[in-house]
Amino acid sequence: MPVAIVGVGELPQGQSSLPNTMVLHEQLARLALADAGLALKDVDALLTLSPRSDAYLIHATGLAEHLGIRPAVALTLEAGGAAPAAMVDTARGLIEAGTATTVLILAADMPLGGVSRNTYVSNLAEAGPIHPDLERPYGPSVPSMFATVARAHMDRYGTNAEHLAAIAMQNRLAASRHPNAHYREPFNFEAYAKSKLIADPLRLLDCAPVSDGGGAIIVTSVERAGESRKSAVNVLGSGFSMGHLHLSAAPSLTAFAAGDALDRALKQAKLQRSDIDVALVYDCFTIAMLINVEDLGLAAKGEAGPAFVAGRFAPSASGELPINPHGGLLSHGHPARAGGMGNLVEAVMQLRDAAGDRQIANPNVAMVHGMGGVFATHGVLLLGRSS
Amino acid sequence: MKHPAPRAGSTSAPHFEAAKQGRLLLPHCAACAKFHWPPQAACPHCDGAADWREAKGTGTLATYSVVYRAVNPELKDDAPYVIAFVDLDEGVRLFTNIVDAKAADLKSGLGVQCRFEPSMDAELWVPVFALTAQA
Ligand SMILES: [Zn+2]
Repeated sequence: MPVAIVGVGELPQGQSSLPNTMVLHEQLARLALADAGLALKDVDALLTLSPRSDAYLIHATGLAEHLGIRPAVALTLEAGGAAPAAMVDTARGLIEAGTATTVLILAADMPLGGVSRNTYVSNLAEAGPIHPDLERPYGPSVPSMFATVARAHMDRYGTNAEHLAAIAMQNRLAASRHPNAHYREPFNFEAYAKSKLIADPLRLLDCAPVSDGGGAIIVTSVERAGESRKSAVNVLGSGFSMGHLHLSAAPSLTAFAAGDALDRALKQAKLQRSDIDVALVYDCFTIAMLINVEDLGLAAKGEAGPAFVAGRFAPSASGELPINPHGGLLSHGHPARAGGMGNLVEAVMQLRDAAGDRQIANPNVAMVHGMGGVFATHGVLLLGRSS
Repeated sequence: MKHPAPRAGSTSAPHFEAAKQGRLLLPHCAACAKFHWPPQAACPHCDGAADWREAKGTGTLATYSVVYRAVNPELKDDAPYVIAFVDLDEGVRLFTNIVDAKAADLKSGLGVQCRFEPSMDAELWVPVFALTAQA
């Protein structure tokens, strides 16, 4: 039983004025339900992530309690930035098995509003992708782990600051066309090169911001989606992969497992890479975008940097394969545990032809990639316009 | 520099206990005579049982970064410092610090030599590395 996305909800990313994450989740839920023409009482499955800034024993159950609903299923998933794909795939399973009919998926966090920023950054490094015994004694920050990968890629393939800057600038230009984006002011190479070194060779403008935000989507069967208010977006395929959890256990420091996730999704959807019209690639750092694009097989190893400089992935009429028309995590925003939800929401908006000034011309197939940890685990969704 | 302590009793504790004695101890498989890293349930090469064996402590700098902003509050005064991956002659890659080196002197591929420094738990020391020319 194929499934479809029939509702999305998103609020401006950045510093939120809402009092806490429960209220943020509630508002996102109401937006997505209104978009789908559904009500809270229609939800029989609720899938969430545990916000880093507001932890619960079982977050989804706590949220159901807050919303005043008693869905048959309330589950909290953990897959880092691959979680949005994992939640959609879980929804497919629930619907196909007949366990649920209407699945509300929420991913939101408030690292700026929920806790102080320093506490957040420190928690992320200590309880995030850093190994408690083998890495923590040496004092790495999360940016510094990505920086070791950046240097290894530079040494091996000649990747340079111009390549990384092209990615940062492309995302910012795209975000300037998105009303919900956290950062919308375009910048040039000089501004990039002047931005503060955070962990050599990565600068401030190589790093995604810390944002309050997230998004919501509603998944139901394609059969029921026919009754939805807006055009439904079909889930064509999904795939997952992992190589390690901690970078210390990665077999390579320049190539990772994202491509396996896309291969699996393409096989399931019976599609080819050339069928992808718009790609949403996880880009918590510029180097993450560059390497993920290569590992996904959208550019050969060592060729993503020059391709970004040449505008091959620009989300404009001149781009061969538009990537991240919403500005990515780098500029649209990185809401902590909910990082990557923006990629999923944007794919739906693009396939509905509802992306306004940033609309790609007639996309039929969108790829949504999410990544958890330092290139550790990957989730890919292939979504299609309903005919 | 200061080092937040690894956890006592973790799978890797023998590595850090040996460091206090000035020995670089790594998981090693007798069946296939290969080292591996990190410590794990069984030998990743042949699924054999892993034991610990001393390594020479020499290798090359694989990649590194200079941390200008420490996230651990206890390391604030140590920044900037260098985190790195080093490729040991035994064929494994360790995460570590490069100590006593200026950022400008660092380059991937340079030779490195192991040293040992105490962590914040006096029983558990950590292997760090210096450029061979300065070791
Ligand atoms: Zn073996």
